[in-house]
Amino acid sequence: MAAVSDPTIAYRTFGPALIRKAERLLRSREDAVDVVHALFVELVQHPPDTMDLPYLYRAVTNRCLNAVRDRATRARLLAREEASVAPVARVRCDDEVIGLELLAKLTDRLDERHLEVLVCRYVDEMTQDEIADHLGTSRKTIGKRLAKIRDEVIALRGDA
Amino acid sequence: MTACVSEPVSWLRLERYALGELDGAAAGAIRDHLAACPVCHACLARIEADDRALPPLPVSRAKPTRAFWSWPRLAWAGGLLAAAAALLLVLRPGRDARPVLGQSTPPGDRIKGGTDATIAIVRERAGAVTAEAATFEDGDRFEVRVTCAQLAPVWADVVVFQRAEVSFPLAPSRIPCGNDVTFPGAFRITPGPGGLEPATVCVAIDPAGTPDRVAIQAAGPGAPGLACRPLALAPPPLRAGLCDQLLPAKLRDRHFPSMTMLDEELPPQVAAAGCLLSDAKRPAHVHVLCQDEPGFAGLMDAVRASATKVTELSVGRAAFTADATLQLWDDDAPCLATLNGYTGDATALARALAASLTPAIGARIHALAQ
Repeated sequence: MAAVSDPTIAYRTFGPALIRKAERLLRSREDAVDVVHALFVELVQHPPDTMDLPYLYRAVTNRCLNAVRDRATRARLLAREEASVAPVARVRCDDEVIGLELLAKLTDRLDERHLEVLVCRYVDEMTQDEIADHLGTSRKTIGKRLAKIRDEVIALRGDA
Repeated sequence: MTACVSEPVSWLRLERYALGELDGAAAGAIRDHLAACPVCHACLARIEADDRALPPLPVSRAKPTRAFWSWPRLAWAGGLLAAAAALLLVLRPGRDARPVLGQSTPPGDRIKGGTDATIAIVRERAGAVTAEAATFEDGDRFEVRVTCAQLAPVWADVVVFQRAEVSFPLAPSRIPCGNDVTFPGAFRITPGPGGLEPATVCVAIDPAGTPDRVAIQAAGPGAPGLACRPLALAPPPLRAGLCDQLLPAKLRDRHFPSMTMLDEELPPQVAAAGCLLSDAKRPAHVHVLCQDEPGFAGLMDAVRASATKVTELSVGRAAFTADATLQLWDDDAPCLATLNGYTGDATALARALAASLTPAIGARIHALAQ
């Protein structure tokens, strides 16, 4: 099932995958469920024409980043970060695993476009080609954004 | 071990592969990679092993309904009613039974300051949805539905008052007016230093712009433009010995994965219902409905139609329906066991419950036939 138009079917089909994605990012199953559930509550009210997993992945990325950007939510997430759900982290940024704490710091230094690339690369573990296809932009642009992300990670390491 | 043999297969591609969405070439490439890469293979295994239930999705523009099948003996069994509501909402999202604007609304619901609106608090407790919640306990999730009359969309903000504490759990949102418009987002009420306290949940509505949080904080629940509902603390679960008469001893105080079954007090009229309750934090209810009960055939048809991932067990079948309600039945036995609110390992519990409940169902059938 590639794309569906009924949000309730999309929820049943893609919901578990989206919760797993949100959980990798937020490190909290409970918050991941809340993020995905809130997304579908909105989709039920204002359904798009069709939705597929890549489309919903982007929607969940944006909502998770909003949660991390929100100071109160961030503090709560960091306080209860569950080590047990730490991602496998097959892809690292300059030998750093992009965990919640590092991501939270990067949200203060990077704009939305860079953060979305960061999540695609270091949380969703996509290749550069896949990110370019996923976000509808060129591989060259993705390369530039990843370079800036690496610079910021190195700068944060220097600050620490 | 976190090193992939080459470029890892992304989580998105793994998820799509697990869903069977990828075409032959793409799926073949992943299959080849997984055969050679234990790390990526472990990631796929993690996806496939993650079989936890989704919380039910509220039906748009709330349709809390009356049962299309009647189970009158359960009508006042509070705990069971809440669990049954989740099932009914999904099985028959039908007629709108809630008052609309212009009809009488309960006192205390009106917006002070001239705006006519009402709210309903929808509670989800371990998978069971209650459309008009009046009580809560730790771990409950809430959504708010607003009924308002303005022609143009209005700004709304959810406010929770608890003693001297005021919180705004969700971002203000511009919502269209109508009957039971779901406010975007869900929230929980967490215990303060002194534990959980009764709360008043309100929605501030302002047609002109985002409601003034500072003014609301200063004025409290009496602030103009608020529609409120009180939420009392849920009473502790009742304990009684009625289950002794209803269920075999081996079903009582039995430990299942992530769940301990305890007695729950039920009125004598609820003779055909099993009465098992999980620990207080994540309540789950088990009901047993048999063939001679009103509505059994319709419910069984609905369960068969909406069941997903039917698991064949030596003692019957188990499946989740769309609202994450676990159903157990045996095609040859005229009873259905329904478990609401369980979020742990479904397969393990299904097997354990089916093995235990089937003799109970059998005993029940036998008793009814006497």
